[in-house]
Amino acid sequence: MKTNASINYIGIVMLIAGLKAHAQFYGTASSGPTAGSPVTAQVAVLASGSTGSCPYAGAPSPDVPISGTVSGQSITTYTLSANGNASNFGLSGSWSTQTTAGQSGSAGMTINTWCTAHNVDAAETTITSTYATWDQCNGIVSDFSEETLVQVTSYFPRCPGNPDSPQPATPPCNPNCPPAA
Amino acid sequence: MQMPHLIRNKFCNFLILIFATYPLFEFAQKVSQYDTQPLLKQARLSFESHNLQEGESLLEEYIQTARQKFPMGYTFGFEAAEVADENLNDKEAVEVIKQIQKHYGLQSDLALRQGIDASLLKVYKKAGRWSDGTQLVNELVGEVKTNFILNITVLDFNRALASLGKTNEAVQVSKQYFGDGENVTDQVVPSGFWMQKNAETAFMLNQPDNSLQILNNIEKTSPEYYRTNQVAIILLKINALEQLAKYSEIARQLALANGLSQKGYPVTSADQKLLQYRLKAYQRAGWLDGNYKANQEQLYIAPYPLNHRADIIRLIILCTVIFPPLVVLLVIIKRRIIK
Repeated sequence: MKTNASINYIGIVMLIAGLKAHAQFYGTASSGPTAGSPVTAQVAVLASGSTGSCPYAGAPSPDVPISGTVSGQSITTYTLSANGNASNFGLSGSWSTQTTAGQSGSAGMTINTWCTAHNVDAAETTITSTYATWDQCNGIVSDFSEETLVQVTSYFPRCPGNPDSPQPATPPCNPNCPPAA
Repeated sequence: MQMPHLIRNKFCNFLILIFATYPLFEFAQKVSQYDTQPLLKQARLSFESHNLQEGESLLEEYIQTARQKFPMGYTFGFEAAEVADENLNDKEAVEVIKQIQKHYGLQSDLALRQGIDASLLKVYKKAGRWSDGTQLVNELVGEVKTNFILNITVLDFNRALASLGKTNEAVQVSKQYFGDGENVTDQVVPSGFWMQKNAETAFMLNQPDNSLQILNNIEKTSPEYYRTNQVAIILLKINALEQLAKYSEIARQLALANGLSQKGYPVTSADQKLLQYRLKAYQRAGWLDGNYKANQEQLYIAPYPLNHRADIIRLIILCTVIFPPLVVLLVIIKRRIIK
């Protein structure tokens, strides 16, 4: 009897889970399809210190991870890309993901950075990424909203040798950079 | 006596299993957000069975029916074209969408047709047909842009051009399509929003002067939007000023944004977070003082500044507590040695 009771209990839990999944799946039908837009991203780098021409262009700096949660009541594609140069750092990276009806998930990208200047005390990369969602119902768009993620990463690309330069334990100095003059 | 009970339990468990696992089978099937509309679902099924003509007529029927039901609606063309895009290859989708487009050439069809254009532009982007996409956007330049979906699709297409390094094309789209925002008049977001997005694109294109010019224009052309988004706009200006390495001006703008935020001007939580990061970074770099007021020039900050108060306390302890017993101890030792 105890075994039967346990089986019934598991069955009831499964039934509730199943009904819940049904409710989630059909939840959007009454409100009409929901649409989403691609993500946009901006990347800015603040570097402090004396910057100059860099004989070691292309030396790697720490990559900047960025992640966010995406969810969709409908099938929605999210894309994010970053490209170009900001101050003395090169940038590149992209991701794209697709959610399906009633599901949510997380997605992330790594923005690859590389230093083009060797005599920088400290640098901070700020990435803001935005995605927009809206409802499409009865031929009209409504309930527009935007979500923004902010990601800031600090790093210290200057190598040991300059007493004025802060030397935190992490992230480590770039071993490819020459000592400061 | 046990049998009916066992049979009932097994039957219940069987029913539970069917109910619980049914959604899993349903997820495995192909679904579309447009399946809620029977005509669009039929069109999808026609495309899946490679019956393009039937699918196309079902899409047109959907547009006509929906339009009669909701005369103010403008997204039906986009929805119909999206079904073609989702279920056909790029070449077939372009053909079908162009066929549908031909039926909506009147001025009264403008908003509806712009939705179809939006879907066509999405296909061009997906297929990497950048010149076709740019040409399509150029054809829309003279029109009043009343369809929000087209506006956001053009913005997305333009960002893609920018990220691919197609700077000239992206600048052209920015200037000609969005311009100063006057012709972009959908009822979903104000024109100031599109100008702000246009300034962001200019920033991504490494054109900080252009970005600043657009942002400064928002104040003149959309004063109400500017007032409610002033902190966000200042943060964008700071991005552009960083590309120009105008740190003194950045410090001034940061101090202004901080003042506005403290006065209760609207700031989103993300912008507030960004502002705080920026304030701290520029304070550390010596461009802002302890109260986040702008310094005239960058002040040198020693990596490990001396804490004078702590030093004085250490000195007092040394003089009053440690030195006297030491002196006494030395005197005692000296006397013992002499003895």
